[in-house]
Amino acid sequence: MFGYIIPDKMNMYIKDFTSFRAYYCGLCKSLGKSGAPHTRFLTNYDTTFLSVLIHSLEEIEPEIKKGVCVLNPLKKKPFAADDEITKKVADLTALFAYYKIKDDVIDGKRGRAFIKPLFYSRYKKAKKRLPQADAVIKREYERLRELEKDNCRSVDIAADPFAVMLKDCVKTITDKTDIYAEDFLYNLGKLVYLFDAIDDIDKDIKRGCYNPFAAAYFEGDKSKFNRDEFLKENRDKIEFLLTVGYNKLREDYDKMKITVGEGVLSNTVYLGLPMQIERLLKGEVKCAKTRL
Amino acid sequence: MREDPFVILGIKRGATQNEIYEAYKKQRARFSEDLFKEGETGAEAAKMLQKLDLAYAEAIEETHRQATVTGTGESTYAEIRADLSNKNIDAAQLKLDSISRRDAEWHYLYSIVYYEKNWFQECKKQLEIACDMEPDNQKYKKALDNLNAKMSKSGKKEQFETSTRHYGATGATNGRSYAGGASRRSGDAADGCCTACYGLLCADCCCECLGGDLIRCC
Repeated sequence: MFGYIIPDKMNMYIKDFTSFRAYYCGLCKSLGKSGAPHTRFLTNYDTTFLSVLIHSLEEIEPEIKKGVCVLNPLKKKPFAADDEITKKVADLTALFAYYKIKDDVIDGKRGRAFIKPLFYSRYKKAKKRLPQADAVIKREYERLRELEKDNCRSVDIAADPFAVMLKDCVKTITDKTDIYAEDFLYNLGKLVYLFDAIDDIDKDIKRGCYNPFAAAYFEGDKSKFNRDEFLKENRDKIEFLLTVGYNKLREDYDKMKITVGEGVLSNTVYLGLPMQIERLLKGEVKCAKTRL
Repeated sequence: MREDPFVILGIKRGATQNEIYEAYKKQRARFSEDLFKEGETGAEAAKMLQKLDLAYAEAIEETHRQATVTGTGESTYAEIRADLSNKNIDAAQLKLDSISRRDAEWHYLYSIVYYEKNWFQECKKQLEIACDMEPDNQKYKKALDNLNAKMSKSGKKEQFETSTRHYGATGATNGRSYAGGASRRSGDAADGCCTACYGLLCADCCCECLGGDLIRCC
């Protein structure tokens, strides 16, 4: 996915950081074991968060083991054991990544066309194991394509497929979701989509791709687009969308029953996401390169 | 003498709102064509268009009166409200879509549908329309104010209140950590020390990513 659902590491207790890293390493190990070695690199923060969240919904505390890592074979580190949930999240990661690459290729990123076949076999394996999730992602990406083709002028409508995708995918893995968890996931997916749209707005306009914010609020000469000016002019609307969505998400999170990994989840929700919103409203560009 | 709106529109009494609208559209299209013709026909068409608008409003008003009396015909707002409170959002939306008379209440109810769907921008738009149509209505105004207030009700305020008691009071309200926000911007001497520690930890993480190690024990 995009790497937006991250904890605020600078303000994290060491115990929570250790626990977060254990989930991350667990996911990485699971991906490494279930496919070719390079599929390991699909590991990302967003699905790590989902892994913690699903463990919490299922009320299953993963067993923490110690083992070495490919990147540092000399030191043993704690990692979450490869249980049923972690395996499913690993499959979900592969599905998300594959569809993201596919979408990028359709959008005209030629470089991505070369890496697409690298992940095809892992994708097929994941599809076999999670056919419902695959169907959901396929359906929602198609819906998104349709909206893009029609140059959808409502940000809410444009963000709907992605939000529904995240919600329904988690629902295919666990049936323990209540309305709060569902609304939480919906808004989480929506925020991720909006973050990505704001970050990519100048690139999208330059390349002639669809961007929900540009379609809704930008009129005029595309060659004269100025990112900072655009953000300044439409700050009210963007801030409204992000903060109201975030506050609803936070409200739902407060009502959710969190049983496992509370520190990691709370840090991401209470600190990590506001950090992203603050950064975007300041107009700063994401520093790291977008992950798969 | 006042003419019967149903006669002007050329439909039967008791037609549904959709039928009235269709008839109105058809008649309007016919007279709009004539509007720019010279002489009598043009003037006549302009007069007819005015009459049509009036007749349409009256006919709709009439069906509305009847619907509230007999309770048949299109779904009433009461039903939709019941759907909304039972969280039958899709049903409520379908019923709202079928209503062609779109007054302030209609926009208000639609805003609730959007709110339940988490479409906040669309929700705001509908509320703004409702407020424009009936500026004196306190219910609509309050709903819009509430929605706008949702924006400011973030963790920012608490952030500074609890920042001094980092480990003690945070999240005491619901048993969650970090709920009080972080003390990111309160820079004193102790904070500088913490920043240095975090910096070292961060550097350690980076090193570990690349295969090295800065701090042995973690």
